[in-house]
Amino acid sequence: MPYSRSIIREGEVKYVKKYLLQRLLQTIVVLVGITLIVFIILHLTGDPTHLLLPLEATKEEITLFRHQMGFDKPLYAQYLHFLKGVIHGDFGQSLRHGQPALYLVVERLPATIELTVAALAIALAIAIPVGILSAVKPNTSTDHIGMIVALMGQSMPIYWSGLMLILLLTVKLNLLPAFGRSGLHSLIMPAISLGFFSMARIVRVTRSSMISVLGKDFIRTAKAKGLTNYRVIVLHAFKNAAIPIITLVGMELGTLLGGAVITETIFAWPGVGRLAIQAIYNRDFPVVQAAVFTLAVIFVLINLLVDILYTYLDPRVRYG
Amino acid sequence: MHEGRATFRFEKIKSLGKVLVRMTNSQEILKVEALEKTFPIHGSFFSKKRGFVHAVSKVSFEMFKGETLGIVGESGCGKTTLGLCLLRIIEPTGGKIFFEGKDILFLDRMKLQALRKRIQIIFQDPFGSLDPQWSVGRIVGEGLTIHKIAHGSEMEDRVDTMLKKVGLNPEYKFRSPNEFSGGQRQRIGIARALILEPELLIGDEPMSALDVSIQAQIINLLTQLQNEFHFSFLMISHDLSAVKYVSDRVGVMYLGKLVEIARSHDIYHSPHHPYTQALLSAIPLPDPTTRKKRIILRGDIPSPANPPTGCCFHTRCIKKIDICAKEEPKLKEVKPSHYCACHIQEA
Repeated sequence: MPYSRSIIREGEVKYVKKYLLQRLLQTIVVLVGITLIVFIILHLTGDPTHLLLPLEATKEEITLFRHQMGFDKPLYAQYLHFLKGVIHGDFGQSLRHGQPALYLVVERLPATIELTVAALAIALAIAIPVGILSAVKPNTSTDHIGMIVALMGQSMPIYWSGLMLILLLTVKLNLLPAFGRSGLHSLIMPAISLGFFSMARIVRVTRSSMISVLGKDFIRTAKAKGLTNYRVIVLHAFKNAAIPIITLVGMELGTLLGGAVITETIFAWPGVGRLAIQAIYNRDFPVVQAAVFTLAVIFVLINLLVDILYTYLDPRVRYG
Repeated sequence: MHEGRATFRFEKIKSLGKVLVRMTNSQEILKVEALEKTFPIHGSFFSKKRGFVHAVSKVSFEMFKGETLGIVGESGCGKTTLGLCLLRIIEPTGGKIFFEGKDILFLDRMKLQALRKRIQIIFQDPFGSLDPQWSVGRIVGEGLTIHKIAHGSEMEDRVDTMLKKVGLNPEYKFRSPNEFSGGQRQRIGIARALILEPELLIGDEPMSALDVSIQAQIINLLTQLQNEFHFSFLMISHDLSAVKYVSDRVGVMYLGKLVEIARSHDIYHSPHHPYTQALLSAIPLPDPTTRKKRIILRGDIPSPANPPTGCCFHTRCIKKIDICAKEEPKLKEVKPSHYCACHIQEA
């Protein structure tokens, strides 16, 4: 289209660069914070040796283990050692599998990403049209139905909707497999039960954001130009309403990653979440640390991405 | 501020000749008959509708080609609703609107969109009325592509020309509206409206959000553009002095009703309706030596949800007689092309 605003003008480059640099520095600080928390998790209950070794371990075994793991050194030295490991991508060996912890996590990452993206796609595919319809015809039966669907989604915890889906689609109708990762049809149920919860929130925000934008003067201007309803709603209203929706989607991705831990466990989906839960049961701490760290980093990077998207979408942010 | 007023006056003297020419052209472009708009008042969840706000009630007037008609009145008297009804951005609840002889209230959606090319509007708030996500060039040019008037480079050329005509640098078209001042934004709004070369332009308080000096600039710009494009101009405003300077005829609204309509000169020099007289006595004169009697109205404007019986103005009128509270006066011709709705003038 002519006059596309995607071209950032010369004067603005300075602002954009400054803004992005600021955000990048903030991200680095957050990442260091994450390493601190992940490190502290292990030391919350005092000496982690007792957490990691079985109760019947002998004194010699304990001393040897403490020395091997470096638990006899002062805490700051342990943290620096841990940080050095993190920078090199080394969280130690898995106590159970005997493989590098990070390797185990990265190996399962595609499954988790697949599930999260599918869930988000389902959530958006339902939420955006329903939200827009509700906003265009507020307080009509269309709106009420949309809001009831949203309420249902918000009221159902993932583990419950997941079990109900298994009851209906696997036990009663025998349509879909209840567990495992074997092709597209095994993805449907986990993605629906994970996406449904986020869908509900996105519907609500889309609706309220659209209603507030549709009441703005420039929508009246667009109508006065003689535009079609479609153009007014999609090109003028939705484009402006999209900003809070994008913020929410960024945050929802975090919720989805967290929800994936539960969903993966219910549907035996071989992702990072299930690995983390198993590692917790097995007291496989290096794997827990690697999993938590990886998920947290992904979350922070998504937030950074959303902020960068803003500078493109909302010209007012560029001067912030 | 003083400079602004000075130019303002100078322009008016220049345009006096034009006014006379325009008055002779009496081809009707718009005819409004008993236009009504009521808004339902919604009660709580359990009780349904509680009543209606009569924003515009039984307003009738007509406009001629090339003429400027001013509509004045206090805030909340239904001026803006009237303007938006003419475009059917707000759907009227009664009456008829004829644009070039055709009743526009029965047009389907497609024809209505086509009609909006010919009737354009400039809005009051230059800050809210431009889409912040769109560049100025796209805002101004969108109408051209939608109504299939011009595309591509031809559209860009037209946008450039139009921006120049409203006094903006065409290079500004890549910027977004938030980079402009109020006056500049109102110029963008004018460019946006006039690029479609409408036959009727509605100005919904086009200057009230601007500083006085900028108001003068915008008024002069509008007069100048009217000379060039020959559109009819419906100027809605509460600023009586501004309306006086641009209008050929003026209509006065009170509580959703048109109480008086006449040639600008007649309204300002021999107003008939007591409300018009009170309104005009409130115009500040830029001359400290002139003393004039101000008519101070007592009481508040009655609620349009519960308008008074008889004449809507009788609760505040200083010349009230018995009949005023009982019978509603009709708009009658008191002098040639001077209409007034008041019992006293009839007696």
